[in-house]
Amino acid sequence: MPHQVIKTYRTKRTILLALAFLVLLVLVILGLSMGSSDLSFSKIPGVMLGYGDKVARQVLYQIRLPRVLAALLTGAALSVSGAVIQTVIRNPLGSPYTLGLSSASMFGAALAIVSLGSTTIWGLSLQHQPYIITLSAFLFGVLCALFITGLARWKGATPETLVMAGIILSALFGSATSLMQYISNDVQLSAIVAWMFGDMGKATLANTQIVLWVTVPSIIYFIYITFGLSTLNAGDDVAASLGVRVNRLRMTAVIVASLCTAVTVAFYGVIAFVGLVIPHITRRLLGNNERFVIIGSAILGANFLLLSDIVARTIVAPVIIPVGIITSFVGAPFFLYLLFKNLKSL
Amino acid sequence: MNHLNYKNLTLVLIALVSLQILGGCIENKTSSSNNKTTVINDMLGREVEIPQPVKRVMGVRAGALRLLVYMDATAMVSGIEDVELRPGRAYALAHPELLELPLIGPMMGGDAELIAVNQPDVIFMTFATIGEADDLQNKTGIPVIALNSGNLSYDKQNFFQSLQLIGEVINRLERADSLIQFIHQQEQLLKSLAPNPATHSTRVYLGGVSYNGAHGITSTNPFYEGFEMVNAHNVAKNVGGFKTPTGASIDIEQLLVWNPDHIFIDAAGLELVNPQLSPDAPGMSALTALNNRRVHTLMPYNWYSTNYETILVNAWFIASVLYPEKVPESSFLKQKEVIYQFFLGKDVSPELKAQYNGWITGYQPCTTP
Repeated sequence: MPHQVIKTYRTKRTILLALAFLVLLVLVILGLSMGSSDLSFSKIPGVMLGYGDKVARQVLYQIRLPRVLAALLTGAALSVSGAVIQTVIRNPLGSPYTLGLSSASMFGAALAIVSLGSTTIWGLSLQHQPYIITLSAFLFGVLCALFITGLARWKGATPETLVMAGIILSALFGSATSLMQYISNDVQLSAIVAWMFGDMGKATLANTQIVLWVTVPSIIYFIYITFGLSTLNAGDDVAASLGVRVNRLRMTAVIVASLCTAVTVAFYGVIAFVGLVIPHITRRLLGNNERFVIIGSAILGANFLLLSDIVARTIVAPVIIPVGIITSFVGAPFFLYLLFKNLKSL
Repeated sequence: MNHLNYKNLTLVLIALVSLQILGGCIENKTSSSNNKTTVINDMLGREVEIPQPVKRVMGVRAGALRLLVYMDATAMVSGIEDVELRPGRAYALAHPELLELPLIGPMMGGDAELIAVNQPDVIFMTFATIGEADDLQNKTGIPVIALNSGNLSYDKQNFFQSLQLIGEVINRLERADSLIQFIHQQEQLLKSLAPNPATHSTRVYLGGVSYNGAHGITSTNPFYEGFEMVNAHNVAKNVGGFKTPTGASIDIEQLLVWNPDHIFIDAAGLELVNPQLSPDAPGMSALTALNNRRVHTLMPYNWYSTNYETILVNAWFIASVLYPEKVPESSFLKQKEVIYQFFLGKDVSPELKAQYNGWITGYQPCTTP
């Protein structure tokens, strides 16, 4: 009988995942079919078979396909990172953002934008360096993650230490970004603001491939460590008694999740709330089995960001709203709902 | 469990490799050669292959369209960013036909898909890194030429080089040369008004400078080009170690300590400056310039990057205030007309005056009701 219950449980969740995957496919087709040009769904098969003019091929392969792929990968990466961090720090409000990563990346980008054109390093103008903003954002994101995990390990790696250090660093980098905004000129300010709200329009085939090679192996790694993550839910002592090296697992998971987030934030900007909201929805729909949570978060996260991006592109077309604004509009009310629900249960 | 993991891993790796191959195929498909092309080195040192002749152009990001208007290439422009629809810039007032062109997306870069559909022959892009210029070129399949619009002081060479580069691409080098020559002549004329800055004792201050929006009297530019051109003694020069034209906010007490002989206000900040300098504002009665009615307004010069022609006109206005014996009002009015006519093809000063309270001598600040 218990075996039957487990089987039904698994079947139900597998069906839910399959349905979510089907919705994702529909969204991919929608994402490829919608845009400012007249390249509609009916014309896409022709373009794929080599028909259609140069502009249609350019729009499909260089603009829409990278954008859709980037939304898929970023949504999946942010959600899975959030799910893993919530598990390892045993805090429902945990996400790469809670750990100060996005604030650090934001500062890195703002610093590069303000220094651009007026700063030279070893005789080379920063403006002449490709992807300097991306690189600076990535480096600060990774540095922040390494600092937090290093500090936490040095001080005993408690989940509270991680969250507290994250909040403090968020405030610090937030102030530093405000300083950059204050001393920037109007052009730099608009670049910083544009960067603050993540935008899938920054996706290119080249940067999507880099994101692909970082995020997919990271997600595979998280699936590989699901046993360890599951034991953490039962407490550190239980996990340790089952042979899991708790601190090491916690540190590695946080670093990989941070790396995964840093690379997406560095290329596409700050996309808030995906890493916070989606893991919670996934746990409600699929339960607390870590394997289902990770795979489910990946699929639902991809769905959420792709849908948000489609809304961002169409709600006031031809004007495109940065997708980060849409995710914040959806995520913030959910965050409040979660907060009040937790208060009630106390 | 492990078996399942390996199976998943294999599937994902296959997917990864497929996507990689797809990426490769796409890149091969889109690289095609044009009929007649030429290679240009842009301001970021990129080699860009452009079609010949160039008939349709586009300027993206701050100031790019302005440079095209300076280069008399308005008729070649094929689309504009939506920010261009907002009023207040001299070049848009001179060429309202630009506002009828198709929109190519939001400010600071437009939308790649709209640009690709618009199909200009060449895109001119300002404030870009090599990576950003390459990205837009790859996405649209249209050559992107990066410009560096520089400024009219220490980075003048880049401004001139941008004009020459546009001239080379659209085959109007003579227009670039005449613009550069005109600016040199203007600078020489202005400098000749006060050849020895060391002996000049009149102290001036610029307040209400717009950057990131309108600001009050404490917002200044320590290296304002309009003051530099006429060798005026800017009390805020080098404040905070600034060596380049940029916005800086000073302590209001410092303004009282400096107590400049003349205060110039950027008209874009007048609403905020008015209550600060009004007769009932605390402490302001100590300002000599205010008591002697030596507060003057300048036309705003920052709106989606610098209005170079307005800086030159402002310099003439400052000269008319500081050296009235050498630059009577009639000379300023004449120079104003000549400069706008030469840069934009039309004297838009009446339209600018209708929008902003610029170029007023002896301005009397009052509390805005």
